[in-house]
Amino acid sequence: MTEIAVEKVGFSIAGKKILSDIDFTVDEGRLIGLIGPNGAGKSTLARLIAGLQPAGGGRIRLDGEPVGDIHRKILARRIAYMPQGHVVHWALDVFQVVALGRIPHLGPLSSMAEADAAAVQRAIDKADIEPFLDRDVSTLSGGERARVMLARALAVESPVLLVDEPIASLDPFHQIKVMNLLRDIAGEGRLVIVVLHDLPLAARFCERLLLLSDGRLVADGEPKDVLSEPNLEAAYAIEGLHGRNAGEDYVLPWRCLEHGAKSDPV
Amino acid sequence: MTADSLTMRLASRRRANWQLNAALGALLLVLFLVSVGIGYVSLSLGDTLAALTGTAGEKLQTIVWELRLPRTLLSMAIGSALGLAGAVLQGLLRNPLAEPGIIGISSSAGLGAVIALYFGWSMAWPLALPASAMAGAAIATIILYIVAARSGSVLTLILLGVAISGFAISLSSLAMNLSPNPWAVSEILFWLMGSVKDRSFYEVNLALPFILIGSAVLMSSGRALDALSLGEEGAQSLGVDLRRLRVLAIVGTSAAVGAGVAVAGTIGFVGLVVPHLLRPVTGHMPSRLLLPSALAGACLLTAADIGVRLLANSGPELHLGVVTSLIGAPFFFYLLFKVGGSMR
Repeated sequence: MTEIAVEKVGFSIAGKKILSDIDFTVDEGRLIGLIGPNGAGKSTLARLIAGLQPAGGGRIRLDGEPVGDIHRKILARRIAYMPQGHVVHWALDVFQVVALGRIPHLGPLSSMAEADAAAVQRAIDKADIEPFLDRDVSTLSGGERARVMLARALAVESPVLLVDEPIASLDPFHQIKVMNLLRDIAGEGRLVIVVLHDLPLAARFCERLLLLSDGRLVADGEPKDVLSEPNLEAAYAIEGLHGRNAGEDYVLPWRCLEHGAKSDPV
Repeated sequence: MTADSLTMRLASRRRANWQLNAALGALLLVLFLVSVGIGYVSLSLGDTLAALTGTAGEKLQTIVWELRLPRTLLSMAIGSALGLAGAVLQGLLRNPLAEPGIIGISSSAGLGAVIALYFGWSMAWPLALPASAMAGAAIATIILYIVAARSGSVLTLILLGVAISGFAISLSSLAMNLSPNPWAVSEILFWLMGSVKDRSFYEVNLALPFILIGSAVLMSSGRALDALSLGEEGAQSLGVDLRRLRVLAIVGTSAAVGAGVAVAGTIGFVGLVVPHLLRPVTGHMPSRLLLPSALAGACLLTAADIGVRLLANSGPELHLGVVTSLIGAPFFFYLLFKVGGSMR
């Protein structure tokens, strides 16, 4: 059983409050979406959970243990994190990039063993990137690159997977494909948190949504409750179009409301 | 495809790596023998080997052990330190133009050495020379890191290097300007041009331990540099301790480059040219670039020193630092045009 407990967490940069009083507990098995307008603090929260920065106040626990107390290398085996932007600095080929995901499992002098190769292969299969395994990542399209980075995070084979905007640069086909994949991974019994901007996809694929606005957690629960009209209005300053197709509820961002965005756009 | 074929892929990469290192090692061995054998008195391979193993006549023995061997060992050690430091700095700063000479580390080490000479510290305590050079290199590396980590742009790094180099060189000039002894000035000036000529085992003993320790520290950063190709956050999420990595790179570079500068002056561009040429054959992977860069740096500098001695037969002997700059500077222009267009 994997569980992350975020307890009264706050965070500020240079006196500016980015997050305040965030409190929730998540566990494995269901895809969890972290949503909110620009500047709401989603990525910051993901970074704090991944242990990349210490929280300013409160505490984040992974299976009861404060994240800051876990040795960096051990933590890297338990939480895989895929940052935004999909940066790769050198002209590495796709296989090498995915294999980087095994670094937390390697001893200081040992190199990739068969078990590592098997994990890399599973990640390659899941993300469906076999056809361009030998390509230089800098020559890939945005969508291909996003899948490679996802495979890199999957190769860690950690109980927790944190992905920051995995579908931002993808075409609709691959957006749906990646969301399906993330839902399947959660279904395997892993704790998957995905930061999203796309409300229709968040509503359809996530089983629980956490809505951040102005650094506060303003709603937490099932998509249809979280994406209610008052919440959309308060957090996003938009009006949604709610409907139902083939037994599934959907919501589309429909119209800006007069008073403008509440959060400070970045 | 199956995991087995991935295992095979890994094995073939390892084999390619091993072959590259073996080939560079063999080349270095050949260059070593040529470098020991060549000079005013040219030795046959048999004589060279005999002198190295101590079975030659006294005259040959003296030439090899007192003149050729220190010179050769220094060119190998300094070349490998520069090649390796270039590869590590490029990985750390994720910038193919980072190089100890270009970004001002070498001239800062030079300034450190000049200060030790100027104030006579090196007379009072022999280790003051490398220590002061290493301190100069460390200060420059720390400044570079602080600024480069904040902006990360190629241009900032190069401009900062220009500023640091300019400052270090002007302070070195100031020291010479104020020096009451003109003979010492020409000594310092010649030494700043970079050379391994007329060095003895005294210089080898002074520099080699630091170069070896610094190189070992630099070599240990390989895996963290690989992770860093995903950016700082990506690397951290893979369990890399960035602070430790920075300390390793700064300590390793300062020790290896600083000690080299202390005994041979500033020799530029080796750390730029070598990693760049090897990157395509090592799959662009920072960790796989390290050992080949050290070996190829040693080969390049030793070959350049052989070239210098061959040319000396028809005129005055050129300084090694002048030769590497003559070759390296056009290469730097080429890289600047190529890289400068794609990165800001």
